[in-house]
Amino acid sequence: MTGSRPLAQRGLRRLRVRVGVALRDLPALVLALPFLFVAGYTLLAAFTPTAQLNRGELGQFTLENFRLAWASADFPRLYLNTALFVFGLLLVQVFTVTTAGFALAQLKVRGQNALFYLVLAQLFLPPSALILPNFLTVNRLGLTDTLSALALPYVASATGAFLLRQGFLQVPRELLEAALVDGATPWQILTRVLLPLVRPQLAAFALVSLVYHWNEFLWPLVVIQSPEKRVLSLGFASFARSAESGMEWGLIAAGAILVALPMVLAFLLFQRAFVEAFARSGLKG
Amino acid sequence: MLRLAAAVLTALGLALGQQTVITFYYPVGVAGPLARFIEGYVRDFERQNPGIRVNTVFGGNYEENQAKVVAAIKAGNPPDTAILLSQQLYTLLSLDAIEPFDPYLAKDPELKRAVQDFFPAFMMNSTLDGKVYSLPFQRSTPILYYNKEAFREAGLDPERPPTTWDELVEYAKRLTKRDAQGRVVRYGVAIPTEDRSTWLLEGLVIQAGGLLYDPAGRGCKVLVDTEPVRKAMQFKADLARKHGVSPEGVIAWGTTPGDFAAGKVAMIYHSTGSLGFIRNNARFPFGTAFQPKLVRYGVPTGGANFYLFKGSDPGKREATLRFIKFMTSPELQARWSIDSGYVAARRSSWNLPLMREYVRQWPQALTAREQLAYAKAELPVYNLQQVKDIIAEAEQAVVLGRKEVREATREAQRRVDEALRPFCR
Amino acid sequence: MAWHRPLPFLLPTLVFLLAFTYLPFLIAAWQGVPALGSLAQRENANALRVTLLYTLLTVPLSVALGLLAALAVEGTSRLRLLVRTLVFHPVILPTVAFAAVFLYLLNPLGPLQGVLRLLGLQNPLGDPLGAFLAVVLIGVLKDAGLYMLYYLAGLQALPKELLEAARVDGAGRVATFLRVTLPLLSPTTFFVAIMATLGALRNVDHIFVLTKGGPVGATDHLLYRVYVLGFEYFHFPQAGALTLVLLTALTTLALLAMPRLEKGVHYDG
Repeated sequence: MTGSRPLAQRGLRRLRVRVGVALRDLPALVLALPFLFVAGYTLLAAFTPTAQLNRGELGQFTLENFRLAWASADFPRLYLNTALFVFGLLLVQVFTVTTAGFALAQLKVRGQNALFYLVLAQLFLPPSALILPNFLTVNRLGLTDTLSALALPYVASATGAFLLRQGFLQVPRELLEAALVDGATPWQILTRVLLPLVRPQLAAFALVSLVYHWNEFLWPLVVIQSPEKRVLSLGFASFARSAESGMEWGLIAAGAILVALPMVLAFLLFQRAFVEAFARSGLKG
Repeated sequence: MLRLAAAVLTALGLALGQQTVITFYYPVGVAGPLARFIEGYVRDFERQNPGIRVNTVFGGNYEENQAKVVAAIKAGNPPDTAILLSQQLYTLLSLDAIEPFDPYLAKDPELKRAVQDFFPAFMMNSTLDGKVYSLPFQRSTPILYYNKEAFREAGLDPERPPTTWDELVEYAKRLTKRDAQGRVVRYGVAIPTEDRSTWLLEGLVIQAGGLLYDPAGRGCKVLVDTEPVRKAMQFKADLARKHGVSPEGVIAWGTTPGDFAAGKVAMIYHSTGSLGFIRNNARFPFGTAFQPKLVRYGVPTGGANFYLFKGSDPGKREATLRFIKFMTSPELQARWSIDSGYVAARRSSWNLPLMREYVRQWPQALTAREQLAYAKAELPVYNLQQVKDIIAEAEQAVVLGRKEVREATREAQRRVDEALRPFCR
Repeated sequence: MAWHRPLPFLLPTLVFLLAFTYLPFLIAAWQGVPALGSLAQRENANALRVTLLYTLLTVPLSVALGLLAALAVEGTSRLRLLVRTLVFHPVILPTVAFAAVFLYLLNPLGPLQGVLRLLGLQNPLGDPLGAFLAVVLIGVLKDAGLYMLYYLAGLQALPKELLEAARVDGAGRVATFLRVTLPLLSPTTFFVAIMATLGALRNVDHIFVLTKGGPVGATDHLLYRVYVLGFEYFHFPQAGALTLVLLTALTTLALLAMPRLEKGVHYDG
């Protein structure tokens, strides 16, 4: 009898601690709700026949929506075009942002250098705001309706340049000086000595660039005319909007999943890398 | 995998100079099952014409498809053929982008027969100054769909749909059902207000005795500030705001067939092209009927036609024509109609055994054909999209009660005239 | 540090910057200046108003959600990491796909009809206010996860001693948050607010899928209108004039923000 009291008390305290923990997690749970709801419904809708969805029923499992979505757009081609665009662009960007970051790391600024600001200001002048003038330029160059035209406005990237600049600034001075003494040219220093050291920054930039451009919609909408040159977001948008008949919800959900799947898979596999990359890309890393 | 193989074969064929590849670019809005049918037709065509390979692609919805084609023309890179709204004739002419079919009609008796066999209503938007500029493919008219079960429940005769606007309102009142708290569980009627189209409004205007344009105006005279247009807009607004038989606000085009199929609305105005969707989704018997009249029956025709673009090479043009003939043949139009609900555009399609059997099973499909006798051409005008946007916005403002109808039509008329000025001097 | 001149290395970036970021100013001016008068036209003036309202509503909401989310999921428990993933995941989704799901969720027959009815918005996308709020909602949910990340980084960098000191002084949690944490986070807040403003001016993809600028122009964002004018009506001068307005807003933002960002860029090194 005497022994059971402290036990009960301990149990009570444990319970209280548990309730406390749960309470402290409550905001997180509440916060998760809308996101869970949206994601959950997308999944449910994708596997439910549209007729049932329209009656507000869920349940009967089907893969038909995916089969139809796959048949409704040339997905292999859409994936291929998107991959060509984002990886091709990334390849060019690796060159431009590394060189630019390297140059910026050496500019002694403190507010006087116009070049520094010229690059920095691009953060505020996103290409999507410039669709009209950039379309006219691309048109003048005879490049409308090409995947290369999609990439052009993004070749120079202030985000990338400043990310890399930070990487370069972290490299110890002595290392550079030693290389200089050895008679290396700046190009050799950049490619042989520095590049391996900024790999984390480069990787972070690569991830952000891939995600951002994978999801790109407005600029491709302006530039691409031929259906066979479409990227995923365009292919999807054209069947998410109805012209004459009713909305096929199941199909739209299945299409959304097909479009997002590669990125979602990559995200689930490399979650930490994604989160770090995005956190860094905010300039203040 | 198959597609990849097909692409490789195409490339091989091209290298050997054996195959002509044409791109067929169609705007069947929501992909859905329609895509599968079209793919099937194209397979059949290719089987019959081994020298031709057809590259089929969704072009997006009508507006999007149009914008893309115009952009391609402006960039000096026109397609061989495209399916665009029949009412785009003037816009395409103003770009000097299309050619008439007449030279080919003279040489090709099959094509000539086709032109004579299309329903005249579907050719109204195709001809100008005696020349044929486009051939019908996916054509439709708006009709009235109604829920027979709901009719029975409300004590209405399911074989007697409303025939006048007044009757429509009266029926809708009886069909509107509320629960114990007074919330509506079923609306009587829904007439969508489309985002960027004037199609359904045009029907109401015709029924009110008017027409949204002057047929002699050569694409330059739009008649918005007129009594029939005002009556049409007011009628639509009153359904919700005065009679309470229709959902409030702007009713979305895309969700309306779903609402109907789910039994939440007892009558809807929608395209015949939605017949397939409703057949597959509704679990109650439904009927189709002419849209009720105020002073006369009438609807605009709708949908899209094949156009021929300038600057296509002769080999491709030949292949394209062959493809167009196939897609507009009586047999294929019948199949397409049965599969989708679009109206078979050839009169002879309706005599085929296939079609007779279908109509016996689904007499609902006949409504659209019979209504064609009262159909008018759909608004044909220069600068089409901007004109439609202006009118649609005025209509929305009236439906939402934001504007008094007289003010809305007057302002829309002024803006439409302004939008047409650069094209019409 | 004059061991070599950096300019050649900057050259590739500079060329593309000039061609696709700065030349556009000139092109937009050349196209748009003659049509500046069209800004007074009703639809264009409406687009300016809608954009302003959209920005004024989206920015504080998404910043606040980002901060609240960061506070809620700070820590390393399994649950919190999971919630973090959930809140972040829309960031990596295409806006068009994310928005299309809302087309379903917000349709009058969708799973939210009960909630919508309570809010008096049975048909949100068919109502000017409802459609506007829907567009704001998606703008907020889409990017809040990113801002959460920035705030998490900001929270981690807070000097723990100050927070401890406040606690020792007997300040309550709310007081500590308001008087210590929030002021210390202000550089992050500034930065996040800038990012959110940029996002509000730049991302209109959901408008294409959800509302097409309607009903009655209620969601007619400047950038959406630039598209319609330029690429559907092919009215380049008016599209140019609106682009100029957008560029003016962005340049103002840059001038306001750059001095402070430059500090960050400079000292972070």
